[in-house]
Amino acid sequence: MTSTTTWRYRGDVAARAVAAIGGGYVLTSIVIALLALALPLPRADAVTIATLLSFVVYTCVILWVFATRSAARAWVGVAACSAVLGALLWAWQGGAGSVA
Amino acid sequence: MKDGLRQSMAWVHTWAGLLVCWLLLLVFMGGSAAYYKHEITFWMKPELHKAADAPSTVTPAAAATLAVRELQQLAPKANAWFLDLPHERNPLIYASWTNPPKKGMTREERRAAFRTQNVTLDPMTGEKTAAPRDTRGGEFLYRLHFDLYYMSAIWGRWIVGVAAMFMLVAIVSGVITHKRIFKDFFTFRPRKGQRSWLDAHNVTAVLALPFHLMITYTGLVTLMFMYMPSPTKALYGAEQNTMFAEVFPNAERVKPAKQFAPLADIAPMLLQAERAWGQAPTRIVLTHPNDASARIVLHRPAGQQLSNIEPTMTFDGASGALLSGPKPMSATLDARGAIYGLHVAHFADALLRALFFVCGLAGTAMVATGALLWGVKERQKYAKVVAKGGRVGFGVRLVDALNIGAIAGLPIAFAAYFWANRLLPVEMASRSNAEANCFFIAWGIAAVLAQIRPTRGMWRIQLTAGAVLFAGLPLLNALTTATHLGVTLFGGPGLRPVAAFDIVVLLLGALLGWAAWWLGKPKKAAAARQPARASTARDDAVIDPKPMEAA
Amino acid sequence: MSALILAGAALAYSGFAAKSLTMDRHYADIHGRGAEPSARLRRQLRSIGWLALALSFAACIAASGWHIGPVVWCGVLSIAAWCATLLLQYAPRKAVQGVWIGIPAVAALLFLAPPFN
Repeated sequence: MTSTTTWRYRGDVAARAVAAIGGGYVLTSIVIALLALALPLPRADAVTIATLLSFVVYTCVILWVFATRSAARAWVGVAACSAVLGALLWAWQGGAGSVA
Repeated sequence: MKDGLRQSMAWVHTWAGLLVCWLLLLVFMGGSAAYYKHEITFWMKPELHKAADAPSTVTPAAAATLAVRELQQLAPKANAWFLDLPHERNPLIYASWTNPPKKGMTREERRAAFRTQNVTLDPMTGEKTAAPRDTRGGEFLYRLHFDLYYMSAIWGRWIVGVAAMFMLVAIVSGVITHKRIFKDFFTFRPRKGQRSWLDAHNVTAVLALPFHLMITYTGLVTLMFMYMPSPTKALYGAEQNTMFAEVFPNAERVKPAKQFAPLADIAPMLLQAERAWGQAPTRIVLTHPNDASARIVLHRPAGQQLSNIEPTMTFDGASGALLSGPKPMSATLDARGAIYGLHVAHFADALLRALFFVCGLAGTAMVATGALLWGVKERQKYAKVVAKGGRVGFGVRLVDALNIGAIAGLPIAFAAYFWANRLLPVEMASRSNAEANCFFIAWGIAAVLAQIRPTRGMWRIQLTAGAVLFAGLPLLNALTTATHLGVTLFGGPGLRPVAAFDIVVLLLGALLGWAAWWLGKPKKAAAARQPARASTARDDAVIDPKPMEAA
Repeated sequence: MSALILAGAALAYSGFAAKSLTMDRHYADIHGRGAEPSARLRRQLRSIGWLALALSFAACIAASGWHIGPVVWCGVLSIAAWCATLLLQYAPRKAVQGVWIGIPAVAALLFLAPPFN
């Protein structure tokens, strides 16, 4: 019971909350943008499917952040995935020239 | 590992739910009411009841012709006319129009002007009905549940969107953490304290899980391009208009030719549509009437498909020629329309609409029992302290107060809105705003009183107030209008919505009254003072989430 | 249409009532504490339950088509499940006797559903 009021516990919760809500939103945005680019469909369909799936992705990220063993792990996971996929997204868009 | 997952999901479920539950109560109550927004609006405009009572034998083509004739006089220079022809949910002809925006008009001014740009016609006489009182009716409750109020719509939509995302996380984590979801499927054990609240939460949540999951996800989808813009940015960059035209191909706008051309007769167009669809259109949109580029778009009535984007037939307004059927949409865009359509349920007939409403109320009960369960569980931890004369912690007191203010206070607000509709002078200025203010004043009073004294007595007072206000509405209706239950129950089909409203509010009032009575039973008070003994240690492990281990 | 949906609701209730009997708790409510259904009875009841739910689905499709029918079915399932839950708590014997309403409901389904008339 007392462990709920330690600063360590609160720090853990706060760290995970930021990773889940903020980091999760960033990661989700990157993932679905990549998905939209990768889908071999007309633009309207790709953007629709990717956006439809966004809430599924976001939910999974949030739940994973809270289920994983530690807040540090959560941060590393979200940050690393965002970095790698973000670089991929940047390369895809930069490499393709104009965004449209 | 599995137990670790269940524990962490229990923690997520508790906090994702608790942080937004009071807002969600507003969303669920407003959303449930929104399924009957047309009926609520009709009840709130008693001036229209007389015209609606006469059985209408007017054909859709004749009704449309009447409406067009009226609009030619009222708004010949409008940039769009909107016709809603009589159908089972609305026996009158409703026509509205939009004017080209004047320079310097703010969006609020345009919206306020738009609310005056409409007319209701009696289909039998073709004449304007008695002018209804200025009220937003059910539309206020509908908008409330995603735009909120006293703030720009964008802010409201973001706040509700965040709450909806919390709700989605709460649902999924709740399912993961519910160890005995199948064994406890039909389990409801009353009079066992904490266990009973958990059972009530499970029963309202699990047994309508498809609805709750659907309504939350589809709710997010309605504004998904705003909430999650990255795919749009990735594929379309800054070309928002292109994206809009491609994803919503049937919403294209035509520019006016600025050249006069008389409007072709609309009746043959309706007959053509009726032949094609087997039923006449009930919604007609005329853009740029009396212009050479006028377009008349007929919408097929809802009920055949899930998508809220109905097939249309577009006619040239000047020549009357059929221009095109609807642009074919890809399966993906159709699916998006269906997902959106599931949320707004335009396709629902009377029975299905009632099912949606009941499930919406169940969602309200799910959120309420969840919040109450948290309070009961937390209070257990202070049982010894309280027994010695001490006080509960800050969190418990706050949650108790918020619970009263939302669970008992919101119904008071809804009822106050309807009472205001009948009691505010018809001629007063900004009447519809005043009605909305009454909603929030009532809610504010209830919420503040709850914060001052979050006690069992306050619960009973507020629940009783809600019961009296709701159950008193049919009586108020009888005292202030001519279309009370005695008339509407035995009148024509046009007045059935009024009767239904009176009966439903009566039932809701009875429900609130029963809750107030149940809280007053002395046995309950004794049980609440004892710590719950009914749960076994195993049950506690399921329902008492241990705090997560710090790393 | 409404008659078919009513049949669908009755079938859904019937299925849920049957399935509830496969659960120790509800079986014990009828037959006494500690009583458990035999493995054979459990299998039979489970099959009846699933069959009734499937027929309930068919009734809703017959009433409202393939698009709107499933939506109706979900709503009907919830109502039936709530009825079953309340009855199992307050009148367990009557609740279980309700399994039999599946039979007239099937008759109604056969009589009213489009392929058969």
